[in-house]
Order: sequence, then structure tokens, then C-alpha cells
Amino acid sequence: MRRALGLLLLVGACSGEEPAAPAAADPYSGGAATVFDDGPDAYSRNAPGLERDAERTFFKGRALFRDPWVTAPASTETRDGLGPLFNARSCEQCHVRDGRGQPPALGEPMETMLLRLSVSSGEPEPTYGGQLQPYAVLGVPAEGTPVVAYETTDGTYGDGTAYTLQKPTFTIDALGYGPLADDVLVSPRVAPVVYGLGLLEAVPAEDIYALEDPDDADGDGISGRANVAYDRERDTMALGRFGWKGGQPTIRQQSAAAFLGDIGITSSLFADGECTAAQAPCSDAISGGDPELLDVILDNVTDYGRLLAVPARRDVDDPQVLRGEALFTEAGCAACHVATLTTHEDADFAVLAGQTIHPYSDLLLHDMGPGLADDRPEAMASGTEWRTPPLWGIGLLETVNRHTKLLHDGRAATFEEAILWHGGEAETSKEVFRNLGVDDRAAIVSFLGSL
Amino acid sequence: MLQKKLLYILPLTLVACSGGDDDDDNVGTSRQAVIARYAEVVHTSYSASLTTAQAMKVAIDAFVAAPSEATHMAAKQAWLDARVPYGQTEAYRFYDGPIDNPTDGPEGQLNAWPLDEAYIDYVEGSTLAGIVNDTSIDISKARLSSLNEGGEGDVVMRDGGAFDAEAAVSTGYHAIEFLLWGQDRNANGPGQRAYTDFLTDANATAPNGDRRGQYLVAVTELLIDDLTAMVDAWAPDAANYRADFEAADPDESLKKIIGAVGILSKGELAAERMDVALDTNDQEDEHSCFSDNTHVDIQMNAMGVDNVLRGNWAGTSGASILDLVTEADATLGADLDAALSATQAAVDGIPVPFDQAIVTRDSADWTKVSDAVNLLFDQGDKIAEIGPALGLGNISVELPE
Repeated sequence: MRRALGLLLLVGACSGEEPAAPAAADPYSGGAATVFDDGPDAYSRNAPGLERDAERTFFKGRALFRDPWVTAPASTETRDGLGPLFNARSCEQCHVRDGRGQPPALGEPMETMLLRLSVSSGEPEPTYGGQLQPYAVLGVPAEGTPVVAYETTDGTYGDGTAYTLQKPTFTIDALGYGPLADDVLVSPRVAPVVYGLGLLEAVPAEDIYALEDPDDADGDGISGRANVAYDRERDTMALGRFGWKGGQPTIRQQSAAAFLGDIGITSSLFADGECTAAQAPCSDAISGGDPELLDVILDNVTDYGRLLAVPARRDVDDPQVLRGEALFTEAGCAACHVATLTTHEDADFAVLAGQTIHPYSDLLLHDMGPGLADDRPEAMASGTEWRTPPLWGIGLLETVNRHTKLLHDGRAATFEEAILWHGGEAETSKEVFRNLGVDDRAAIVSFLGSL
Repeated sequence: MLQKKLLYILPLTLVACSGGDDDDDNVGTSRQAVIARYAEVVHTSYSASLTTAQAMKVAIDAFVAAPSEATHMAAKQAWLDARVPYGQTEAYRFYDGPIDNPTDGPEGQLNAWPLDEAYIDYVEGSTLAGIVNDTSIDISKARLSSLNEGGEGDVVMRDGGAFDAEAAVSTGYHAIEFLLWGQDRNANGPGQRAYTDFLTDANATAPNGDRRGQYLVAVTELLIDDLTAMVDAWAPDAANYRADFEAADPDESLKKIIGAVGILSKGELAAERMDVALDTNDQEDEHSCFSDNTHVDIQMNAMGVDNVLRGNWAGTSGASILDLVTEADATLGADLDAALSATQAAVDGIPVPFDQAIVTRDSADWTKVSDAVNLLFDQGDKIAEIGPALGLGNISVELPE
């Protein structure tokens, strides 16, 4: 594909067209781990050219990502241990088509997202723990049923056009283990996309640290700092790369944490179950093993996330897209949504090594202001900080997931709304966007749609 | 440089041009005839699945009416017989056809795995588990259907994508298998459920024997309903899916047929059903774990691929994709023929029972299974070459849904 494209560009150049600057953006968002698919399976493709062993690993991981877990004790011992409390029976149930979850509409059940729970000290909620599990195996009470409501805020663009923003808030009905603490904090989080993770893991930590500017020494109003989290496998502190607040240092640890929190499966990394001392029926339920997850299953699922390719950019020579990217950069968005990073040469899989990639993220934490704050710290992240989410592939969200909901709780229904929610370090950039004319705003949206 | 690249593109273009007008009856095999033969094989094999399921229903009714060693044995044999044709029909999944279209395809209700045993009936250490023992749940076809969630990644997609986390895998062939054989928690042989689990008198070995029987009958009826819908969808001379399939652009129908068998070969059969077990070395990480019939599942899936590409069913043959390929590219035709034969031989040679073969990594038996996985991957890659050879463009064989 790369060859064919080179040829097209070359032919274009020969035919004497006026060379624009830049003539085209790089379609290879994930370097060699880019896939040319703009259909509903765009997030689900393996990186091209895998050796047979890696290909077998990818497909094993894919099966395990999608198969449901079952109640213990089952004959299939390696697949039992669901719950006793859980959010989903399989990874795929929330990461639908390897893509992004969304908040429920009014009156609908919450399905592809979760609620983190804590109290004002930052500790987990004492009875329910750090996450609400709305489901349980037969015979064990579920924790409760989230009920969504929406708050709206009105605003106006610089040109006078009105807009309305909304955000979901959750209350919890049918509490299974008594009342919640008075000072409980509820942080809703949608399931994030799972493609391209191997490339993000392969960016050298020093390159990310080099982007930090904690005291805003350059005075651009953007301070960016790395989250540093405990790496359980290596028993050391490490750069936090994954999760909405960058609270997990590796894909393996992120996956194991999700197995525990979301499906109720214990592992070598998280050996203690999710039941709190106040949840006896949960603690008394039959376990699926000690731990429940075989390391080899965790390894396959981890490598699946590593090897999921990034969809190629589209419309790379569309003038509107290119103008949109220039405006995006001028507005300062690219200071955090960093266009280009490079992976190190000795990544686990050759296809991930030494690649120039375009995630549009610095993997750093930024203070996003009170509008987006969940007031819930995680590792070194404060209640107002969020990790810059990568933007690659975001233009295919509607094609793959049949929705357009963005941000950590899916509150934004459009690219414009997502930008307008930005505050804190991004306040200046947001204001630039808000005061652009309708054509310029449309150009930025076109650019984001091309990713 | 430039010339080299042009050469690289040119042959593809030529193939694409020559492929388009092959579906002329005067020149070799007609694409329409291949599709008609495919539809005939699909209908015949679903009909055989239905007939054997109906025979199983007769045996199960007799067993539930009068549980005994003999009626129990007859019901189990009928289940084993019913798996033979059904396993071959899995080659018709993976293109959103009648079996797995996202709206009402019954695949997740027919054949989901792994089964949530404790959701259905008692399990070791939990004697009152499951719907059978929860007398507040009315056991009926409709109720059991509502309590079932598709397995194997069959996420039910409402608009926007969603699932029902309160439903578990509780219907289909493997539910019937579990109710007949019971949990397989032992290393030697299949599950050991006794017929006395279905008694309600003093000889009963578990409570709710009557409800266990009702569950068994209801899931069997549900299975027959679903198979009947498949037979109807593929019946000849009717206004149904088959009529649309045969009337559609033949190239579009061919792409579906070919993509499906590639996906079954590679991602589904090789990776999901065989390779994961080679890693977990778990005896019961196998589809028919209660009955230890997994080797037959594997062989029948492979035969399903073979049937589709060769146009074969039960000793009959007809116009086939292999014919089309051979006429377009004799070398690829010979390669595909060889790949099919080698793969079938390898899966037929998998040591029985499967659950003993996979427990020791790098043992001779384990290696036989691993070699079969590689052959199924090779076969999938070879199937992917059919698309360009027939001028159909690239056909993905990568993504089981």
C-alpha cells in the first residue's frame, strides 16, 4: 500500500500540478501498524504482515476478548470465575467492535461504561469499593442500578450562534448493600478504544517526560505532566500511559485491572477480589480459581491490544482537511494533541518498532478545568486532570460504533461540543475555536473527521 | 524505480479485467450455477440438521417421560448424531445471513459457548444453583430465550451497540449436552450425570427432576424452532433469503460464501476453538466438553469448509468454487485442492479425545493439534487468494463476528 501511494504522489508531481504545502498529510497514522479499512471493522484489524506465531497470538487474544466468562465452578475451568459482581461478561461487551462506549439515553440501562466510586479523601467508597458493579451472578445481590439524568448548559459562539452542551449525571437505585457514604463521588467513564495501544506502549518514556512542562516554563499556559503509577509486575514506579487518567503503566496491567474491576476475574497482578468487607454474599460466592485468570490468557489479550492496527487517515490531500489541521495547530490544540511520536527500536513485535506514528496525544495529564473535573484523584492525577486522549481513528467512530459520543463520560455528541467542553489549560485554545467563523470551525471538524 | 512499481500494479489490473466476464455459461463453470449449488447444499444440510434434531426430540421426550439407563443412552446418542450435520453448517456463518444476521439470527441461541452451567442447573459445590432450581422462574421456550445471551463474542448490537449483562449462555446444543451429560469435572471421560437426576421419586439424585426435564424439552424445542427457520430461509422456490441470494449479483454472493469459509477456517475454528486450548492446556477448554465430542465438532467444521469449496454434500457434488478457481488459475486451484485435503486429513488425525491431546505442551499429540491449526491458517490464507483470482477483489477472511 505504501508503495502504491508513493507512486500516486509521484505521478501527481510529474503531471505539473501546483505543489501545495503540505501537499498531503501522512495516511499512516500507526506507521507500519496502519490498516486501510474505513468500514465497520476499522478498529478490529490486526497489524499487517505478522509472522505466523504473532498472528496466532492475535486471533487467540481476539477470541478471549470476545468470549463470555461464566459462573464458577464450570467444567471449563479456565473460563469460569465471572463476578461475583461484574459490569460485563466479556471485554467486547463494553469495548464494542474494539471501539468506544457511550452513556445511556434517558431511561436506558448503562451498558458500555462504568462508574468509579470514591469518597472525598480519595479512598474507594467503603461499602461498594472503587467501582459500581451493576450485575452479579445468581444468588449474590448486585450493587445497584445506575440511573442517568442530563444537565444542560447554554453558550454562544463568537459569531452569535447559540449552542447547548449536556452532560450525564448518575444516581444509583436499588442499592444492594445499604446506603452509599454521604461524601461519595461518582466518576462516569466510557470504555475507551483498544486499537493502537502497542504503539503507545512502545513510545520511549523519556520522550513523554521530555514533553512535560509542569511549571509552564515556556509560558504558553499549558503545563502537562506525566502520571507516575505503580508497575506491579516490575515492582517499580513507571510512566502511567493508559486509562482516562493515565493510571496504568502497561497494557498488561490495564487489562488485568479491567478483568478484575469489570468482569470480576482475579489474576496474578490483582489477586484480591472486588468484594469489600461489607459484602459477605460476594465474598462467600464460589471462586473460579486462585487466581482465576491464567497468565497465558492475560498475555494473549494483552498482545491482542498491542497488535490491533490503527486505521489509516482519509482525505489526506483534501484542502479543507489540511486547512483544518493548520487551524488546529494555530489554536494551540497540538500542544497537547501532539501529532507525531516515534516508537523505540526494540518493541516486542517488529511491526511496532521504530515507527513514526500520529496519535495526536502527548500521553500527559492536563488540568482541564472545573467543567470536565470529576474531583477524583488517580495515582498522581488530580481531580481536574485528564490524560490527553489519542485522536487517531476518531473520525471512524460513527461508522464503527454507530454513535458520536466523545470525552470521558461521553457527554459530547459532536466534535464541536467536545472542544467547547475544554477548559483549564485548554481554555485559551477553546476560546480561539469559539471565536472562529463557521467555515474555520467546519475545517477543524473536517480535519478531526479525517483521523 | 517508477517502472518497477508500475509492473507491480499492472498484473493485478489485468487479473481484475479478465475476471469480470467469466460468468458466462458458455465458458466453463457458471457463477450462477455455483451459487445455486451452494444454496442447495445449505438447504440440504440444514434439513439434515433439523431431521436429526427432531429425532433427538423424540428420544428426549421418551427419556423425560420415562427416565432410565436405556432412554438416557438413546437421548445422548441422538445428540451426538445431531451434531454431525449441524457442525458442517457453521460454514454459512459470518456474512450476516439467516444464521447470524444482527437482527434475529439464532446462532447465539443455537450454539453459544462457553455455557454458563451454574446459570442453568446445579454444579459442584452449589446444589441449588441455576434456573432449574429457581422455582420462581417459569420454564418455557420464550422465557429461556429471553434469559440467553449469545456467546463467542455475539454481542447483541442495538442501535449504538449494547448487550444484556443479565442474560447468560443458557440455550442451544451445549445446554442440551450439559443437561444430558452433566458437568465434566473429571480427567477421564465425559460428564457423569445419571438418569436419576430426572426422577422425582425416592430414587432422585437431585431436586427438581421435573423442572430439569422441562428445561431439557424446552431448549430442544427452541433448537428445532431455530433450525426450522434456517431450513425455511434456504428452501427452494420460495420468497425467502435464498431467493434474494440467488437473484443478487453473483459476485456479491460469492464474496460472502468465500469470506465465510475463510473466517471459519482461520479465526474461528483454528484460533478460537483449537489454539486457545493449546495455550490454556485446560481439558475442558473445548466446545463439547460435557460429552467429549469436540474432535467431531472440529472435523465437521473443517468438512463444512470443504463442502462449500468443492460443492459437495453427503456423496453428491455439483458446480463449485474450486471449479471456478481451477479454470481461472490452475495453480491456485491445485494449491487450494491440496490445502483442503491436507487440512481435512490433519483434523481427522487429531487424537481422540481432544481434551487429552491438548494438556501437555509440545507433546506429540499437542503438536498434531498445533500443526492442524497452522494448516487451517494456511488454508484461510489460500482462501483469501480466491478473491483476486476470480476478479472479486480482496475478501477479508480475518474477522469472526
